[in-house]
Amino acid sequence: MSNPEPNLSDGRPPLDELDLLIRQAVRAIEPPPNLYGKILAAAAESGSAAAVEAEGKLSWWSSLAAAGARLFGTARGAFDDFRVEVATVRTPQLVAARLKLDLRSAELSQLVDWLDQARAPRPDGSGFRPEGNFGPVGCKTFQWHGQRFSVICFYDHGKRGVHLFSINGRSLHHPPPEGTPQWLTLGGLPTASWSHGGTSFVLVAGGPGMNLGEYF
Amino acid sequence: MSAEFSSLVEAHYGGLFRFAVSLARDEAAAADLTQQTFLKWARHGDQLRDRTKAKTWLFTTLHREFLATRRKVREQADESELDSIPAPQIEVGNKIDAKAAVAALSDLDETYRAPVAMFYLEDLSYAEIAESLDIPIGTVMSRLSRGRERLRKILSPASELHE
Repeated sequence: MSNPEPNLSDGRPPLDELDLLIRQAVRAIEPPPNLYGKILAAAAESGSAAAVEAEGKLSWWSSLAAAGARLFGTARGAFDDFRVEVATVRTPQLVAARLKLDLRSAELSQLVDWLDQARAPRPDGSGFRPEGNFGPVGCKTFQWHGQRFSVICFYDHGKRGVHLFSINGRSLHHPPPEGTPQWLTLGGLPTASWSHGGTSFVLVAGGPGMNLGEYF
Repeated sequence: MSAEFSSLVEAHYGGLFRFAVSLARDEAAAADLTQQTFLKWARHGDQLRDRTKAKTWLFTTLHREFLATRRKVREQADESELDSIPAPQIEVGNKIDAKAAVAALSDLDETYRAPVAMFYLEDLSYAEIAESLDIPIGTVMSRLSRGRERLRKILSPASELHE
């Protein structure tokens, strides 16, 4: 086959059958599955380092306030960062069973009571309705910017999973609005975010392609 | 870090990784190059006024990072070692020609490799490739023409088997 002459009018050489085969082949390369999360984590780490550097240039009062906030666990992180953390780091860890649940139970009320006793945020009145074959399997608590947050994991007979994260909305910059969820896919996983009664929630699908709108 | 940043990563990390593999011939090095490129964006991306040029900025930056890394490697190793770098061993979905195509693309002379990779991977125009690589459009056209010709010569016999 000969190489076709470039077509200047559209600014690209025309494609023939062999070009299409080559294009299809080279585009079949898949990036490593954890690359997306690694990039976001590295950028977040880099941003934290830059923030610490900038903090050194703040007034003594601002620096003291920032140190106090860290000391007393009242530092606030941006909701966008929290959502990235739970969608690209925590959920894959839960799906891969690299994190051990604090309590395993199929009773939602038992999990909520346990979170209440642990003084961790819990999904009371969240509006999330796990219907059909979905049922809770357990819960876990975490720390983020000195704030506690929790997750309750729901599974469909062990096949598909969804993970409901709860955090105090007052511990976040720019929490999601009350009511209607905001939809965003992160690292290939669909997420829904909303707030209710001062608590912010992120529901993360355990795999790509799930329609989280079914659960509201 | 913002939702805009994560959306940008989501939109382009696959394409950048594939471009990096074609340049670096190594999956781990390609992942590092991709990550390094987005870190540069996180630090300096806000200086780009025209946000529609983000994709071009990312490809330009990755290519420059590759050249800088390559320069350092050349300073520390002789050419015979560089020439012996094996073709990439990559798990791919298309079992027909993917490995052969990537290996052939990676084996192209460096002069042709970047424009040809941009053309096949991202469907960039002559002008976009010229802007990304900071070379004249006429140079892009001649390099693309010769590079594609070489690639097609290597891959033609294999592809004809499947026709």
